[in-house]
Amino acid sequence: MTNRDAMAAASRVAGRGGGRSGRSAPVGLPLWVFAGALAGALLIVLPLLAMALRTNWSGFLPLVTSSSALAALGLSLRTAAASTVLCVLLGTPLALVLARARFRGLKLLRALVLLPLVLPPVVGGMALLYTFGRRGLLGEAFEVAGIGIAFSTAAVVLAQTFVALPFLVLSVEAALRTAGTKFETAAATLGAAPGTVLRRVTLPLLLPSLASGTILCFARALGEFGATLTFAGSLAGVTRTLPLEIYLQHETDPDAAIALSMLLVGTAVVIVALTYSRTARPGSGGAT
Amino acid sequence: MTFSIDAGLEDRGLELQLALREGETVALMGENGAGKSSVLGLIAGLLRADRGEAVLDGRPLFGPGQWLPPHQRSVALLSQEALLFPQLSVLENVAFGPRSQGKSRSAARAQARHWLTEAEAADLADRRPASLSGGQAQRVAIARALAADPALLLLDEPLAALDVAVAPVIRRMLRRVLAGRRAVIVTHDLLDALLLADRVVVLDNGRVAEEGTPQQLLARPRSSFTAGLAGLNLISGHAVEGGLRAGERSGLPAGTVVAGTRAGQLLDGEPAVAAFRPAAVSVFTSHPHGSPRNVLEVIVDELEPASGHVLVRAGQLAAEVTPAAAAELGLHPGGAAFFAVKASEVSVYPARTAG
Repeated sequence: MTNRDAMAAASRVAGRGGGRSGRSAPVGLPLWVFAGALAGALLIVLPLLAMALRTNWSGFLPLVTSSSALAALGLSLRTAAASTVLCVLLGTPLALVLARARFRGLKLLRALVLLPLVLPPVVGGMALLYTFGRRGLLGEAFEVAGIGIAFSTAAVVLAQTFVALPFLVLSVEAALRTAGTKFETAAATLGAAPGTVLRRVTLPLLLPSLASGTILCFARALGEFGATLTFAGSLAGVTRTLPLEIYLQHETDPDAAIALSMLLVGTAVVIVALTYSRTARPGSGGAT
Repeated sequence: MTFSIDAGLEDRGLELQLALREGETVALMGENGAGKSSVLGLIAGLLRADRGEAVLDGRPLFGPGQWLPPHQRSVALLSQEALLFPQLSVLENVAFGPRSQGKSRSAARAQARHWLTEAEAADLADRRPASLSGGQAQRVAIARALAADPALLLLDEPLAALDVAVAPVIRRMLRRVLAGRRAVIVTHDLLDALLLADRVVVLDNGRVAEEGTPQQLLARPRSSFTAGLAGLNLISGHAVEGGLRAGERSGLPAGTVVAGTRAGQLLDGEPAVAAFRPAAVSVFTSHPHGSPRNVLEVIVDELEPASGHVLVRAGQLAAEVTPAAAAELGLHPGGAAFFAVKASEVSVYPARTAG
């Protein structure tokens, strides 16, 4: 009986958009779509819930403020911030070139730049090792100059930048393509040199996408594990970021690992919320 | 001090010579795809020509081995869309040109206020572009283009996207600010040509088909495009004794002779056109006898209501009849009819402009 009532209620919601008068009435979706959506949502929410249930909340504060946890958290925040800055500085020009320049091999360049999105991070870490490692392509030259990159904090930043850069490039390039070139053309015919067009027309139009791209980069950098472990190792206080700390603690002190995981989940939720609130206001540069 | 362009653009089939005198406004007209916007693109530096050169006040814009980027050309382009920069206020938008050319902030703003006033939009100075109506935005765009102090102003259908109620007001303002200014305006609208331009150039398939003052073109159209604007029937062919022998592209059976009044300087065999008003055409369903007129057998394509009468279209010709006559004759698309027009109503004149 209750089951049937629930079904009826669901079909009312599905079919008539809640039934409140005066609201637009969408065509509605078949019920099986809702079933699929529910299963999909559960697959993501349930594991998080399971972990929350296993969290030792009474000991939460001491667990996440232990010296090793704080060191890992501090290192994570510092390196993620540094690699986000690098992503913006390198990714914005890259996106501009991919969206606006025309030369042979541009498509290939685009495919290569976006490779880290689909590459297993461990593979990325190995590639970095053979570039900047002690015997790597560039590493030997650095070594002669007295700079060792592999297994240092700089390596953590490089690894995070490597995996996060495509997020910024994608976000900014998409915005550039959507905006088109007509504003830039108008600016040029008004006498604005390319530098002025970039500074006064293109970049202001890109601000919303730059903001969301930056947030996504930071999130990706914060969660980086595979490339960091391979290229930078897991040296406490130097290269052991929060995800690495969690992985280690999982073996020895599951309670601490769970508490730190919840800390990352919380951070991720805040980041996602920030990103969505940006993208939900497409006219943020318009009338106030 | 003049502007001239002589250029070709192969993939759009464009091959054009055009020159503007100091202070002259030229309207560029023609069917869709005739290449009008490509001409503006070439002049503004948004398209590269395959051949030719353009010179503005002695400065080459482009030519063999030469290329001036758009921002150095002093050619402002105003399009159908206002394209105001959304993050800048109206005043900052108009000040954009002067600022980009190195003016100080205060000088640029003063110049912006001046042009906003000229465009009758001074009260909008502090607004954001997103809060403007289409007509207001276009006023600001016009002020912005003028504030850049271009040596040549290009307008690409500046009124086409506006409400019919707003366009006449903006057109009047444009007429005032364009007076004595060197400009090229691409338009479909006869009113733009009449009110804004000193000279009309008609493009057909990327080439200049016809040019002259709006009055000349409307009085004596030489292309089907201008004949359409002027609302006249036009038959092309060659001058013969007493009138015109219709040519192959006239839509009439080749060799048909149209009797008409010949212009004085016309020689036999010279390419010519015959023009007459749709109102001068009488329509019959059987061949009329015993009158000294041209009788053309046609198949009716369409009947169109037109203020107070009915326009009977047949091929490239049109006749104007009263609604009562149309009903009485039982005209219908696909039916045969005879168009009759007195020789005295037909003017025959050279197909090419003298000189």
